[in-house]
Amino acid sequence: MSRPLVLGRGLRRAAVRQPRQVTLAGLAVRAVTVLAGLAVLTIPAAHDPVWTALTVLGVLVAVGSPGQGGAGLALGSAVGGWFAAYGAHGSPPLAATAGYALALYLIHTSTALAAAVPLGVPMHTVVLTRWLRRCLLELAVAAGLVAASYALGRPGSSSTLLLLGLLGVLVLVGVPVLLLHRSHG
Amino acid sequence: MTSGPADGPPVMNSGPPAKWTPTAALAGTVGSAAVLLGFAVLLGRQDLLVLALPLAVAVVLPLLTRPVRAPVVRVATATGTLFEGQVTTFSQHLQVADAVDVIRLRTYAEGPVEPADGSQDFCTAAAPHTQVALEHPLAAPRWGRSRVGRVSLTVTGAHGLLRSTRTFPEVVPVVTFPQRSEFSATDVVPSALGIVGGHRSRRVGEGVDPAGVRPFVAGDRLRRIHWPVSQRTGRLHVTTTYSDRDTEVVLVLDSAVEVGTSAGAAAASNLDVAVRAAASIAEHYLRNGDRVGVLDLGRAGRPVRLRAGQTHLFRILEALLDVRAASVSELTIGRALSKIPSRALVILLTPLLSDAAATQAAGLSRAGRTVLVIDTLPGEVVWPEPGPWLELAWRLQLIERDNLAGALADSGVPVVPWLGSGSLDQVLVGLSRSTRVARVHR
Repeated sequence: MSRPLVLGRGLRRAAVRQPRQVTLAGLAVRAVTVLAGLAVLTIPAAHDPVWTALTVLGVLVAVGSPGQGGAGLALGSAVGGWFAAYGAHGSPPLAATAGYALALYLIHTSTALAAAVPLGVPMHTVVLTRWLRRCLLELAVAAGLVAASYALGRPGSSSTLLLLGLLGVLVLVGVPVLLLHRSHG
Repeated sequence: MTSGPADGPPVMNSGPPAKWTPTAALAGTVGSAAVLLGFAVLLGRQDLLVLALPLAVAVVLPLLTRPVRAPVVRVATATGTLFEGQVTTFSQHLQVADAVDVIRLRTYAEGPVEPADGSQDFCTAAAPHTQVALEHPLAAPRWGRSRVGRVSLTVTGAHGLLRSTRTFPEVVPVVTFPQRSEFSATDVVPSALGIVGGHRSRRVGEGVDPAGVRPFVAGDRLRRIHWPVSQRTGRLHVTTTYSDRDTEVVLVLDSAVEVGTSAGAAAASNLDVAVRAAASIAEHYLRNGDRVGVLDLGRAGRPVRLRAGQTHLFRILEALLDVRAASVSELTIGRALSKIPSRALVILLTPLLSDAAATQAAGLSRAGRTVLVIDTLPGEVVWPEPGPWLELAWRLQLIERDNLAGALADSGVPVVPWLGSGSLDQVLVGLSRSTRVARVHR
């Protein structure tokens, strides 16, 4: 029995394979991550080379492979860079702080979206519009809370605010753990 | 183009809760926000609180409104039967129960069909408690059996913090029949059989074509009396005609090898040429009332038996869909070929790249059967992986192929390229003559 000689199969697969194209929306989402990363690098008054390098690395990972925790590295190193720039008891200007907060938020949200939408996968515009709507809602809530915190005074200035802040940390960490534990159960 | 999502009527989704897994964004954001918030409280710094709050809100708010159930998807096609080059519509019906951010749908298409707009993988979104219908054009550039579906759904919820993946095993079969060219051939066949049909036989009987004039005998029909001859000779004479009979055609496909590019109308492999030619020839002879059978040498044990009628055409087309490059032992091939009726017209569709089929064809011819070989090698063969010796080897193969074709012609088996309509006429007339001469000699 002779073996079949199949010479057309590979070409057939190659002929019908879809070309992997980069979508404009996917590029735009990653461009937001890059721009937010640049803002994180430029806003602080002083720069520490270690934190800067780590931030750059985090942003690069976040852009290249959004689902791999690059955003976490970028956010962590950006926080470190903020401390390095202003020290433990510094008082940075409000505009720089707001811009830095917005940049951190944008790194988080753009990377989360990029992880959900691979670069070569086309997406309907409704994805972007719904995502932007939720971003605006979160930013509005955050702005309200910031305004409230300014009205209340410096955090930790009273034992009530100290307790409230620590409770916030507890809620922040506890809510995801609790919800995920429940959903797994 | 892929149609955009259109929120349909509200639906009550009773699907089971999905399994959600945290994404990398959740851990990174929670960690950063917790550190910032903790230091803000401990150090009493307002700026750290400002940095922490957007991140904290981006975690807590989406998780409090997190989805429980993932969307459910069903697939369907407008039609399950196509011809090469046709396009149908492939629909995905999404039932979205809870608010999710991104729905990524990856559809697997096995076989020759493919989404015409490349929408095998795309992302969309929909409002909760809605039903969304997404429609994509589905092209069938090549014949064969396909299955579309097995949609892999990756849903991102809680603003990118949670993800759920699920595969829906539902598939929709799509059959693509080969495109049949407008084939027609002369009604002269080497061996007309049966009782009635569309081909002129060599026997005198009821028909249209005149065979001669002979003296009247008892039983002759009066309307066949040839009056001029009768008047001239003084005796009654009648016109005789050749009877019209049907024939048996066996299409033998040599599927031992596949060469050439199979890319629909753009390029054809030898199997494409063979399948399309077989479909065209079968349709022609079945339309004329003949009996047609198909024997795929790659599956020699499962021939399509000789039958007549339009229903049989679909049986043949179904069988042609399963033609693959495969080979079986020469013994099996020989056994299958020996079952071909002795008076049948055997049309062998082969690229003449292997000795086996040609040897069997010559053997059939020696055994008295009428054999015609259609060369199915495509005009241009592009190699997937060109090598240093490939060109030389191919040239040697072509020389061997020419020798094989010459040897077949010497043994009385004509070899003709497939050129569509009318390409077999001259050969069939020649074969008919040679068969008649051979029988006279015998």
